Amino acid sequence: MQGSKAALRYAKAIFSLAKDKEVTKEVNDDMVLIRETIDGTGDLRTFLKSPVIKDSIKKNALLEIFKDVNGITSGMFDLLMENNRLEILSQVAAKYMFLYDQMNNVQVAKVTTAIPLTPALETKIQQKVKELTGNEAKIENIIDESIIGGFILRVGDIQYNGSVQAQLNNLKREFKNNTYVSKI
Amino acid sequence: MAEINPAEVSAILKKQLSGYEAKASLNEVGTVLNVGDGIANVYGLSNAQYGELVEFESGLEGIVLNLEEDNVGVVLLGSYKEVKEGATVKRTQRIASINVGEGIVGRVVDTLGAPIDGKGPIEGETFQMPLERKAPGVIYRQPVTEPLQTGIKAIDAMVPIGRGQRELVIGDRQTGKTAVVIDTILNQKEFYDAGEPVYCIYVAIGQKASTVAGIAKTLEDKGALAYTTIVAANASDPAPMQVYAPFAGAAIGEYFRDTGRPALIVYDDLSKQAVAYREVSLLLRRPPGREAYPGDVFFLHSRLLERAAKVIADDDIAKNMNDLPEVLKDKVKGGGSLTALPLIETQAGDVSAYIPTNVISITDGQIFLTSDLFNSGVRPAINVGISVSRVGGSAQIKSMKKVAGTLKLDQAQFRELEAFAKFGSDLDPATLSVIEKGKRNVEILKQAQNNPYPVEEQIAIIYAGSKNLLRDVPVEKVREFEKDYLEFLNAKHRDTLDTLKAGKLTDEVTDTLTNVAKELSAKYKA
Repeated sequence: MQGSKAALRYAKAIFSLAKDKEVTKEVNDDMVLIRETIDGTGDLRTFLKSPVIKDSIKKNALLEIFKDVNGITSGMFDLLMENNRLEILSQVAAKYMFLYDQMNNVQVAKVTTAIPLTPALETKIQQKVKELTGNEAKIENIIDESIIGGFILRVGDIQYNGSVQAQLNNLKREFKNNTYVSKI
Repeated sequence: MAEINPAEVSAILKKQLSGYEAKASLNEVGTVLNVGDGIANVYGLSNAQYGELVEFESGLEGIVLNLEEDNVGVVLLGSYKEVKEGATVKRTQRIASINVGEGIVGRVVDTLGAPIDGKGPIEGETFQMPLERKAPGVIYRQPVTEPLQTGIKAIDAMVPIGRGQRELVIGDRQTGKTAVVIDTILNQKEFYDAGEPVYCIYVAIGQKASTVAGIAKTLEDKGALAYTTIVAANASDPAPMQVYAPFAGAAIGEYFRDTGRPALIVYDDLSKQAVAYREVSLLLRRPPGREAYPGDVFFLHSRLLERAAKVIADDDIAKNMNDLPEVLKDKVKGGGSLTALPLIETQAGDVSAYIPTNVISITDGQIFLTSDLFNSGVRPAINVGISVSRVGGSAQIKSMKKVAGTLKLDQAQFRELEAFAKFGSDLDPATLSVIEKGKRNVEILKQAQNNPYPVEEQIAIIYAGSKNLLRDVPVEKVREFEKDYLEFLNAKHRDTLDTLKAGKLTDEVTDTLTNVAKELSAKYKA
């Protein structure tokens, strides 16, 4: 999470500017795009991180890639370039999305399952999250076969682990914890 | 290895399974940012408290020791190889604590109270005692009045320890520090047999597992494990386990203290604990001070040793004691005590190093062991001249006080004159008599390891020494004489010894002792 503190500062500034201009929604769409593009393209990540490539080239490339973005977003590229902070771009985007969700009382609920969630289950989970936190949930489904069955729900700092794997682990620990074996 | 019966195995497995229930619960979690050298930084866990136990996915536990803006520093109570970056960490809502009950007596446990002696779980009702707890306030204490018999002649006569006192045992390596405290534990058997046990807690910090196993065996062989608990954080255990081991021991001791019973705790040794604490502190990036110890190493030891106390006898006042754990509130009784015997290892007799000076200033006196004495055959190698007990004097039984009153002075005089004697010049009879008496007293104060003396026998032999009744016995025969003398007294004059034990020193008693000593010493006359 290096640079996460700085990213939050930038995100806050951008967010408050967007709020003044009433374009938070548009900027958020840009941020989602930026985040998805950077996370999805290894080359772009390496390119942004590389200390060899000049920042001006980086900025031009970014403007080329993200052509139809809001004025605020392109301004962000400028600011980050000037401050030599282009490498935290993806984190700034993530923090912005977090702030935007917070404003709209929406929380990201990460649901890890072994098989994809059905829409019916998704609404059920949404209801449950609302019950727990009082916020609307944006479900992010992560497929991980290693949990075998059940699900892990994570909203912010709260986690509900109902996976088969966790239960097996508990059972394993119970057996390992044998007080009839001398350890001295 | 013992034969294992398949039926037994299933029974044990069944027992373990019966406690297991498939449960999933809502937890507050965080994510491991980085881990290394026994410290993990965790993002999230925003509500975690200082000193709270957290649990990693593998079941490994840690203690929250650094609270920062967006992450917390956790010290791991186990191998950090099981923890990976990005792993989730769970809050347990439990401030570091240990489960204590009557069943913990006779067991060997680790810092978190988990039994490690292979004798199964702790039996009976247990109470959660916090590792870190404030010491009792002034109004819940009373002065030290009862003696804590160590069974070591030199200590009980000249540096007496009272119940509730904190007496430091300090000396170089290999001077018999552990032997002194183990003897003290063994000597409490008398009280256990009489039905008024002094519960003993031996905290082994940073020692070899083989040493701890050896001590456990000695205690068991001598029947002392029946009233003793061993808390072990061995050299191979992570540093935080070693740092908290004395606190776990103190928590066990407090259980007995607050339920109105006497307890004795031995910290073997606090120098190693300080070293472990230094390691943890440096890894947490706390600034180093003198000898690279952190600034609060004094507080570490002072708050630990302050927990030793003699609790006021009045139940009603004791019930309101500060910082009592909820679970213990209705069981509190007054009159309990916790006596602490911390050990400190010095390097080449240097007591002006940081940790020794700290602990000397915190405790109510110190027993000084020197390698010179040890090597010249004076064992226990207690240097009487510089050993002191600041409060124990008022706890000595009357008969011992009367008999031993002059002993310390005599020995001081002897040490001074001994230097002259080395020149071999002609000495006047008065000087010669002081030296001869001193030599015999030194012999009297010697005793074998694991061989504590009951207090009445101590008084009897010290009486003979301080009244110079041994002047006809050659120095090398003094120990032989002592054996005969005590055997004779035990066989023929048990009533005299009982009077001494009761704290009385009547003319009748002194006459008997004098007569017996004179009679026996005649046999040794050359």
